[in-house]
Amino acid sequence: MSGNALLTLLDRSVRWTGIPAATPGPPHRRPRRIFSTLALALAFVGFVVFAIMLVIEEEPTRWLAYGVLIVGTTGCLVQPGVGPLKPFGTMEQADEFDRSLRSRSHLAAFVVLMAMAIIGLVTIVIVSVLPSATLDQVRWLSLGLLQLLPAIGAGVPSCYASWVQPRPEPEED
Amino acid sequence: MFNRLALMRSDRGISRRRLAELVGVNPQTIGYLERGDYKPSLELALKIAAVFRVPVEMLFSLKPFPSVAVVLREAEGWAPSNIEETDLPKRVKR
Repeated sequence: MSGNALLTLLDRSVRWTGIPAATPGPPHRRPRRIFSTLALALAFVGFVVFAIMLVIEEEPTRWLAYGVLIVGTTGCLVQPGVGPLKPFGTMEQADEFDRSLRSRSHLAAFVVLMAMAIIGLVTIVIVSVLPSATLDQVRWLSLGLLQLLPAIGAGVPSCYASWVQPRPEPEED
Repeated sequence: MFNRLALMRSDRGISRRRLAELVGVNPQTIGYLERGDYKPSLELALKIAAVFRVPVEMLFSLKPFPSVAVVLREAEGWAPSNIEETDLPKRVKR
């Protein structure tokens, strides 16, 4: 098989997946209020329940909560790709309205992220000094926080922008 | 902040998309401006005023603009103080 034939075959196999057909042009950005709020809520509730169950050593519920945290985190991590905010360094035209909305959204996310980081670290310290605390508990709690913080960093800007952005004007042309 | 963007655009026959192209923003941003959902930067306000070739204060104001009817009346010397009894429509008695 020649080099060109191999490349053609690879091209065909990529087209067969349907991904190239779904990605021409800029991504379809619009407010996703329910999706972004739900993803954040799942991540947050998942982390809190996971932390509580970890401390009281409730085994099956702990893993269920961890699963909820992972689902919420995944939902938050896809937000930058589908949410209303145009990311930094994108090829999409970001005018002054987009830039202003992006700045406000990331500022809001920074505040939430900072608060959750402080609360999470204090929680880890408190759990670590409990007489019954094990190293395993502290590790899992740290891992949970490590998943929650990126979820907040990715999900809050999109959620904030989705709720704050005015209703788009219908096309007139 | 109040603006006369929609009126001016309609008067000049410029579509939202065309105005957006001329000032380098997305068409949705022009829509947000017209509805008063977004306050433009000084740069954008000046660019829009330059497109319509009018002073920026004719497009944007901190106080509500008078309605077109009032402006036309004033231009024709029909200011409320100048209106005489004879200019007012007679009330029809049934």
